Amino acid sequence: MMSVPAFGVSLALLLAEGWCAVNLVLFSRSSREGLLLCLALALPFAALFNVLLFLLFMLCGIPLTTVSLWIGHACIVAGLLLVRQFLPPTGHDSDPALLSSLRLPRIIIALCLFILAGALVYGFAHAWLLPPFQYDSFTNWLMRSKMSFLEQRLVFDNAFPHEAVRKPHYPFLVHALHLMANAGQSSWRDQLASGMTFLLSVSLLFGSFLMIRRVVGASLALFALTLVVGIPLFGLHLGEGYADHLLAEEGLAALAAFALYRSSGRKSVLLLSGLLAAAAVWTKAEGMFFVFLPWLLLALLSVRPLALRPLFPPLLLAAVWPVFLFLKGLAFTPHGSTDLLVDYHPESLRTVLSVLLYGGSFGPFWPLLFAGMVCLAIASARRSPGATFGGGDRRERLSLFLPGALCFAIVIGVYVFTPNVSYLLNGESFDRQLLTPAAMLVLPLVLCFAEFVKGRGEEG
Amino acid sequence: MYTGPVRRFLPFLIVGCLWCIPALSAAASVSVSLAPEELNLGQRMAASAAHAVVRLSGRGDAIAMRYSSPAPIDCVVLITDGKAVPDLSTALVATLPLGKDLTIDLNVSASPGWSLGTHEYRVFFFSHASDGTTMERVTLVPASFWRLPVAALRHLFTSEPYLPASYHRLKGYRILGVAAPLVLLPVVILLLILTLALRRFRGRRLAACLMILALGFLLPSARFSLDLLAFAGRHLTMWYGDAPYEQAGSAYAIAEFLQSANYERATSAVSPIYLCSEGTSYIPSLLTYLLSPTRVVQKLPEGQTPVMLIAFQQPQTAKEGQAFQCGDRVFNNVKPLRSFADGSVVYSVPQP
Repeated sequence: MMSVPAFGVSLALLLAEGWCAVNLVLFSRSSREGLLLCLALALPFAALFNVLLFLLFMLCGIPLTTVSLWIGHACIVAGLLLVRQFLPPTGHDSDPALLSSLRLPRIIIALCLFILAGALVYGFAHAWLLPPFQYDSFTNWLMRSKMSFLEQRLVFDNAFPHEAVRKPHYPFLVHALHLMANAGQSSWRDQLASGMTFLLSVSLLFGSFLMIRRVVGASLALFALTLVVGIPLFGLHLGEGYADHLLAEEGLAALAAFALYRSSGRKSVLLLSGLLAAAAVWTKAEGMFFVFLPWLLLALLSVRPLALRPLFPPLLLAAVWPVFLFLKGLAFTPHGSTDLLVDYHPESLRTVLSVLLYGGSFGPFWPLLFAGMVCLAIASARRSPGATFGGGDRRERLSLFLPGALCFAIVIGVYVFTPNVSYLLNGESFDRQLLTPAAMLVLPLVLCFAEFVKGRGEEG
Repeated sequence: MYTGPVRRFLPFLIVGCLWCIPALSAAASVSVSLAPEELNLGQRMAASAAHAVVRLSGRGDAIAMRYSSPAPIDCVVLITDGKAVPDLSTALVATLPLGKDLTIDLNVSASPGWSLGTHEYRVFFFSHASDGTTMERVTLVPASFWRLPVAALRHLFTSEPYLPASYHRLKGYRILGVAAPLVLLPVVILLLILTLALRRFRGRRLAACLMILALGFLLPSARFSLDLLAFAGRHLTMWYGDAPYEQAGSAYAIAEFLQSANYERATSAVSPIYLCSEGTSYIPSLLTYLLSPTRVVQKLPEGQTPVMLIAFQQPQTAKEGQAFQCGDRVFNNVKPLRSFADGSVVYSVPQP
């Protein structure tokens, strides 16, 4: 019998912990908008703290029992509250000027709401009310979590009796969250694990919406979110925990926070952005290459050298994972050394093009995304020479495309130039790994559009 | 005089309805539907009293058959097109009524794999009667022009299949054999060209273009949202109605049964459970997860006897005290403990 109060305790501890962390480090208490954002990002931040707690327990040889987990998190909450007493408030959280307050036509808004509702209903039903069904859910993710739950320690091998555990060398943010969700339960509960992953997804998406809204207004923020969630494969992934959609959401949230940092100039928001990008490193093996390193490149190119201090905590957090792997003697990439065998596979191109241009996983997303970029580029180029591009530096705005473009190139490169081509040809992983660059390219496109509209308005 | 949109488009609506009437009246008298995702032809052959296979090739939108049968005939139509492994998500099923000298048209344009071109079909007939069934004629009927719009619309609203591999790659919608984006994108391009060329849009060309692009994305996404809602409804009905759950069949019910108090001691982590199943590693992986830490194996060293045996959707069964054969492995003196809705059976195996 599932213990609902036990789950309630675990969730409350995580939310309290995340709330304190976001509130303490990043925002003041005085703004309603800031409070909503604290609530939205509480679980993602708590997931990071959860990972660090698990790491500490591993180093100290403490078993992952209900008592140790709850006490550990309670100590973190107490510590954060104590630190909060000694730090001054960061001041009134004033909203940056909106890039655009454009209101989209009602039909667009209605379609956006319908698409989001469909995805959320599907995700909720399959995460909370239905059993795991998709292949990798119960081989790569839930199996490792279940074995770890039964043994009260994180499993890092697939020798007997763990031979059914695949990818035991993966980062464990998701597995740690699964274990925390099952704390206090007498037996393993899939629904709690999948449900917790769903809550993390919703948190990241809502947090992204709130941050994008601060920059471009509610209409465009809703549209940007729908462009991501409306990708057919993305909506499907909301129902079970594969972590590809979590990478995409973390990438989107990190970029949204970076755009907000650009608008507000607040270093605390840059720190927020970096921590969200670092969370990707702990979510999936590809997170370092698909999200964090592209984000880091953007930050290094965009931020003045004297203002780089907020980058250090995310760097440190991201660096811990490869060091951990090295010390444990585990592979750094998903498939080990074969991932590094570079060779051109021309047979991959046809499949890549079919997925991008007319495959079912993305529908018309990629052609329309590229068409949108071209439209905006042509329209910007045709404007009068004296016009500014939304009052800001054009190179700065375009640089937001860098992480998504780099991620896209890396994904394509992995499947065209390494033995991973087999996973492309048999349809195993290429499509879902494209979700991350898709999410990271949508946001700069919407921002550029908002900039363009604002620029036209200023021209008169 | 009222000149609202309804009156303006009324002539087109009337023509559209008149267009559909021949298409609908020309439809087969037997209702055709997409085959279930867990279709297993081997199982069907084993379960039927008699079966036959017919190969057809050519252009046509229906298969006409003339037959006599004392019992209904289950029919499965595969569009093979020369492939060694045909796409089962485009297969159609129908039940032909019993009767003498009946002529039936089976509408193959209902399959999302159908198009106007030449196709190869394999038609399976499974009769419930061991004799007396004769199939006199099975031929392709030339495509009817009237059926095309109806077929296109039907294809557009054919649901995406929900498979264990769907999270890796979705098949996507096809309209008359063409991937839906390849139908949509030329329409979008045409609308963009018209928007840029027509004077009517002067001054708001960018807004119009972006609106076209936005709708070009949102409308297909909304279409898929309908499928997501349908999946949620269907799966909730299956799960809470205790029906077999998609391709997982009764795997969850089997795991729940074996984990119940009566069998908990029997299914210790030391003694494995033997699984007799065919096909991919999906069911073994699922049962391994559901029953872990108890091991689920499909091979055992000679001389080792499992405690329990799961015969997952196997055509062969065994009564108490009989032997159950799985491949070249024979388990003697088994005792059936429970049968499940998808034909699976759990047996206990006596230890030597």
